[in-house]
Amino acid sequence: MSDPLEDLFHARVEDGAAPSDLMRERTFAAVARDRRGAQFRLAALRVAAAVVIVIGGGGLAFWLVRPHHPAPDDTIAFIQPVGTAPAIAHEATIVLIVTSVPDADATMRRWPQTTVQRTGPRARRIEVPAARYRTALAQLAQLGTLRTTTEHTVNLGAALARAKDGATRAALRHRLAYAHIEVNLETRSGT
Amino acid sequence: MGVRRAVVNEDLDRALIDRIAAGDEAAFSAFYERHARAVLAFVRDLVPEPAAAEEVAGDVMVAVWRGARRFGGRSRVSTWMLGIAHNKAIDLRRRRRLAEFPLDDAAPIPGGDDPAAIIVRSTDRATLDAAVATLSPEHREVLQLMYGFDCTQAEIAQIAGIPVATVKTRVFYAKRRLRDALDAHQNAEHIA
Repeated sequence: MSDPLEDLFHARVEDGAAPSDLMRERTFAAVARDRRGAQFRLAALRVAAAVVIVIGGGGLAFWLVRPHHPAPDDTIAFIQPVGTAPAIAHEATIVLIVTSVPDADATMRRWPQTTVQRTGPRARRIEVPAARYRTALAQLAQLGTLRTTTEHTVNLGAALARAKDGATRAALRHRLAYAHIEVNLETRSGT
Repeated sequence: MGVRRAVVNEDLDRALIDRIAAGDEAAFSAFYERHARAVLAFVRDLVPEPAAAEEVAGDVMVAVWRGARRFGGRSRVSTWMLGIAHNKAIDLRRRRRLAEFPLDDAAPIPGGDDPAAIIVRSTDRATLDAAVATLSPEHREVLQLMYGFDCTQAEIAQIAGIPVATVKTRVFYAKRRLRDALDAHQNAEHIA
C-alpha cells in the first residue's frame, strides 16, 4: 500500500507549475552563449603554440604584456578568466602561478588549486611571488612572442590598472581575456 | 516528466550528463524536459515568488550545463542537481533577505496522529498544499525531498548541506507542524 503523504508530495512535484516559455528561452540562450564561448576558447587553443594559464594577477599580465612585444606571430594564448581556467587546464603548456597577489579575492584563492590539479604532465609550472611577476613575464616572453596590441585591449588594460573595486576589475579581466583571444583569431585568420 | 521516472532512469540521466559534458545541446534539451518542472517545484518551496523561482530554476539548469563535466557520479544526478538548486535558492534568499521562520523549536511533542493518517482521512491535495504553505521553507524542503523526491536522509543532508542528525530533527518537527496544520484544517472543516 502506498504512502498517501508520499503520493500527494509526488503530485505536488509532478503537477506543479510548468516552466514558462520565458524561463526556457533565457536558459537556452545562456547555454548557447556559453557554448559559443567554449568554442571560442577551444579555437584559441588550437591556434596557439603555447597555452599559458595565469593564476592570480592575470589581468595584470594582460596589462604588462600589451604593446611591448609586437610581433606577427602570436604563439601564446593567455587564458585567465576566473572559473574558466580549471575547465581547460589540461590544455596548458605553461602555468604561471602568481602568489601574494594583493587584490586576490576569495574566488581567486580557491580555484587555483583546482586548476593546478588538472594541468597535464607536459605543463611547465612557474611559481613566482607578485614582486617578481614582471620578471616572470619577461621570461615568458622569451619562450614565445607575446602580442596583445589592439587599441581596445590597451584601453581595457589601462582601465583595469585604474579600477579600484573588485567587481569592475573582475569584469575587465574577463573582457581582456576575450579581447586577447579575439586578436589571436583575427591574426591567424588574416582578417 | 515524473520524479519517480527520473529516479528509475538514473542510467539515462547519467548518460545525458555525459553527453552534456561533451557539449551536446540536444542532450541538455532532453535533460531540461525531464527535470525543469521538478526543479521549479523544488525551488518554489524555498522561493515562493514565481518569477524569482523561475530565475533560480533557470540558473540551476545552466549550472548543470556548465558543471556536467565536474559531476563525479558519487551521488544520483537528481541529488547533485537539487543540491545546486538548494544553494542557488538560499543565495537568492540571502540576497533578498526574505523573511525567515523559526526552526526546530524544542517544545515537547504532544501525541497525535501521524500526518499520513490525517491525509488518508482527508486525501485532499488542496488540504496538503494549504498545510504545507504554513511551514517554514526549511521544513517544506525536507518534506518535499523525502516524500516528493524519494531522497534518503543522507541525500537530504547532502543537498541541504546539513548533518544527517539535523535532517532527522528537521523532518521530525516538520511532520509535527504539518500534522498540526492538517488538524487545524480538519477542525475548521468540522466547524464549517
